Amino acid sequence: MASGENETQAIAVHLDRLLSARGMTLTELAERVGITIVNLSILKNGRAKAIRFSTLVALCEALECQPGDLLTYRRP
Amino acid sequence: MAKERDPLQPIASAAYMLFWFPAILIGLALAATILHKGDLSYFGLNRPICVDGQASRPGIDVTFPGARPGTYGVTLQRVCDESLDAGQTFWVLIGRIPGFVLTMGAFFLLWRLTVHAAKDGIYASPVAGRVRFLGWWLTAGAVIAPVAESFANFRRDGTLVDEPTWQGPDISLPILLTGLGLITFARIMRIGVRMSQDLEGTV
Repeated sequence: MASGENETQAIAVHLDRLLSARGMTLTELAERVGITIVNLSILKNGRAKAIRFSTLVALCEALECQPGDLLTYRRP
Repeated sequence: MAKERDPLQPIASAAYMLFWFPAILIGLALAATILHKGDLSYFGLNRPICVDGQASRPGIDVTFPGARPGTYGVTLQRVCDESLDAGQTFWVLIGRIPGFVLTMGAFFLLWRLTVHAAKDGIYASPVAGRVRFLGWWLTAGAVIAPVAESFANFRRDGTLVDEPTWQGPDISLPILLTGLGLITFARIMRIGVRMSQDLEGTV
């Protein structure tokens, strides 16, 4: 659905920026949060359609950040 | 964890048998017809065709064993022809083909639906499309087939009597409702397909 695609593209995920700032690899993060590398890659590359609160909590704990540091809205 | 049952059963097995068993029988009948130089008796077309006439008025001379007091007997008149000419055979065939095509077509579509659902997964857009097509097939067929058969029977009766009686089409309400139900179910399935696709992208 076109509108759904636009909605998900309007949310930017800054996982790569946070990882480099903390000197952490995707593999290390995957081990810490208990999410597969495949799913984290989907999230990092902006291909995720939705994110669970539980995933958000786990990422914020592991990266010591706020949800707003991880996700931002940009006008399409 | 309990083993998950195949969600396509028992309809997948039933559809397989419902389509292939009659298909094999038809194939054999067709082969026998060809071998016996066009003898259509294998398709049950050697039976006499008959038209029931009006019942005669109650007659006191009609006896019916075991008839309860207060009832009366009537005599039915029937006109039959045992040696069918080409025209009569044509109308007999036309009178049977729509119902046959509707039934066998529905069995074929159901069988193909289960095969594709097993291959592509239940929550796939083409599967919902196939359910929708089967629904329309049954809905349209439930109306068109009886009308066509009724017309063919009227023309067939016209070969036996001068003024045949038009028998209205016998539209099957269960088939019609099944078709409409499948069209609705296909719409629900499309929503399910979208939900499934969204879940696949959920992290």
